[in-house]
Amino acid sequence: MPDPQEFLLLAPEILLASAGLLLLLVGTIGRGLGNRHSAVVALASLFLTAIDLYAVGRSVPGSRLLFHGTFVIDGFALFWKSLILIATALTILLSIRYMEEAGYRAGEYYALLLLASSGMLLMASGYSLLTIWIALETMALASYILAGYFKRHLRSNEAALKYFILGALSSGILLYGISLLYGAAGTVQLGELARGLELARAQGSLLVPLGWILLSAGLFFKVAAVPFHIWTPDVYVGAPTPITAYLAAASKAASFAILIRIFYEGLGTLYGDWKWILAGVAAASMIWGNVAALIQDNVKRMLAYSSIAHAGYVLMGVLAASEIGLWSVLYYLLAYTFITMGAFAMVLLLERREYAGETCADYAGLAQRSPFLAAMMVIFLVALTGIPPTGGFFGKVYLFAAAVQAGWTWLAAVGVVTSAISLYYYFRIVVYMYQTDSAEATPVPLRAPALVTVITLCAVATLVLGLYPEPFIQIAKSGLLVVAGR
Amino acid sequence: MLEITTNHFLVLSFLLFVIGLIGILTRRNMITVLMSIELVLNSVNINLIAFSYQLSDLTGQVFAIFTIAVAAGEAAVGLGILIAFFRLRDTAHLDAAVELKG
Amino acid sequence: MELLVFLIFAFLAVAAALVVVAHKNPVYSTMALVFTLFSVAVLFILLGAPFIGVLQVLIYTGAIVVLFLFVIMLLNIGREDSQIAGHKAQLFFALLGAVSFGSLVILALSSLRPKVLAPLTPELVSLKALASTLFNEFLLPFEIIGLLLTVAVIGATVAARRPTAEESAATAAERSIETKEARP
Repeated sequence: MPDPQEFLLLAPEILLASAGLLLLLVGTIGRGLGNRHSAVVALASLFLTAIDLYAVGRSVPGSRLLFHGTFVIDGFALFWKSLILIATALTILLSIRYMEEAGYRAGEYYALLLLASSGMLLMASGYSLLTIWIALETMALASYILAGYFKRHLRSNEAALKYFILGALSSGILLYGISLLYGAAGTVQLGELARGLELARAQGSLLVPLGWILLSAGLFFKVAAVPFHIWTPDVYVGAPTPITAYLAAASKAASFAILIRIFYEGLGTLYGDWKWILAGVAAASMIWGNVAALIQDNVKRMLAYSSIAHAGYVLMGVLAASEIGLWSVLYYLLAYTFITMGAFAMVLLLERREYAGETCADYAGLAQRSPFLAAMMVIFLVALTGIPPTGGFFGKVYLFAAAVQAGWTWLAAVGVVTSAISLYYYFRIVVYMYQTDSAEATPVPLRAPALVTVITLCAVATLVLGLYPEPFIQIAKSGLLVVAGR
Repeated sequence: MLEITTNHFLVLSFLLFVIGLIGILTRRNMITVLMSIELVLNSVNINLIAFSYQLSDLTGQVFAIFTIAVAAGEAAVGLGILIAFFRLRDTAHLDAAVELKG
Repeated sequence: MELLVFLIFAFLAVAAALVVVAHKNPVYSTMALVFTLFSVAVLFILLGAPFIGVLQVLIYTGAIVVLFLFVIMLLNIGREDSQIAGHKAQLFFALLGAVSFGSLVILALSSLRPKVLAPLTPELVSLKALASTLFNEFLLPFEIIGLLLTVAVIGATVAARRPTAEESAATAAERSIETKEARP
């Protein structure tokens, strides 16, 4: 039996999952908690989890393997967990007004959100392919349901259906890859896997390449990288907007956490093999994401393609496999979380009942109607493009620098060119906001204080990350991993 | 020569995997798609058990137990989504899903 | 002898799997799925994993397939008037993928020194050893799978539950918006 002490270090995950179950349980008593109360409980539990996480981080200096090497606590895991908690908290703030107007039961919604997040926390700490895969499935099953939570809405329901079918397909492929790697290495624990795979590769077993190719195909699906991105636009448009933001920020962060951990610690000894595939996927994602975004009129769909493109930028940093590469990835995703949350909060604010208010034309004349909101949106769009003084700028600069330093100059060039292309579609919205007149002259009603708080908070964070990057880089540097065998 | 090897099982599992994959990609009836997903997960189990035997290591068997559990979870969620889909559109045919395009 | 058992049940499994994917009537597909799963269970027992074989029969054929049948009956899903011809492109890509992947597998197999399987050892077959691995080495995944199944149960309930009055009202509003949008 594992040491009972080890369960204490699992406290953040346990706390979050129990909070989700508690919400569910209370929801069955009488009329249950209302929307607002559920949200408050969920936020409080996230706050407690964060404190718990901090305590765990303090008590485990360096890294420590738990539960027979299936779970790890290190700076890398703590970084991602904090990021996931932040993204979840922002999602809940985005959801309050949305759930109120939609008329769907709120208890299960917040419960599923917390359970999905606890799955993500476990993903970030998984150190065996088995742990990682099951935590991933926990997150995925909850996300399918959340994407289709507005089940009487044709689009939401269809998003859930597409997400489920493609998600199940990708997890089947990923699992097939894992089974082949197990056959080659005889283990699923990441550290042993790296050694076992090196040995099997030396013996010329072709199970190894086949296994890691299938495994990485599944991972690319989860981070929405080309050519496994087909689900992204449809699911992003169809899902309730707070859930879209959640998928774009939290789910993406958790998926990148496992992608980096598996590639670095599990497949690290095969770096020479996988770097080419990763480079191809990164380039394809940057190019296709940005080009396809050019012709989108729906802002949610445009942000979906932009999220595909950003996955490409991040993969470039992963590919560099150097210290600067990794911390720039962490820094970038930290900035990206705030930027994307802010952008989706703007979409939510303009969105009227159902799906009106999502096209670029709905942003026409926003500068006259609500100058403050227009300015906030400009900050997010500037940050998405990667222009100073925002967090997006430093993130991109470091990523490009890391790629050049590691000898991937052509990839960095692709990144720079596609960023220039992205200028067009991001600034199309700016032009709409400042250059065209609106049919309506009344300011956008600021009925939801939580939403405005999120927008302001994200804008401030985006600017602070851009003006004082130093402390955040230090935070990102606390979460470094080394590539096994290098 | 007529001995049974791991390769026999790998070929079988590969066949089931591909049949399942083709089913997921080509069938338009949601319920058949769900069954194809089960086929894919089952083909993985054959791999795991065969390797577990070859390596004399129980990890593969334990992994297979987890796969079966996850398959059950996936089937439940998939059927739930299917029921919601059916309530809206009175069909389980995926061609009825036409709202999101582009 | 083992080879004969393998060949019989492998053939049954593949043939039934083809029926699962190809048959137009979902009830027949489900029955064929039972066949596949059962044949595979026999192979598990051949491979020294009797417990997994039993689980396969109990959980898959006992629970999952019954769930499928139940939903088919509940929703009265009939034959699929599918035009696979309409999905030629998808079929083509699927076959292309299958062929390329198949050639890769054949390569992989040729590189793998075919090991004649050793006789079963008591450690491999014993339920006690399996349980001890499950509850020691893989205790954490075991705990997480509890979380996963809880999520699955909640999720299935949320998705399949009859909509409340408010939810139906929301739909009515959506429908009216859609028709308005469709008119001009």
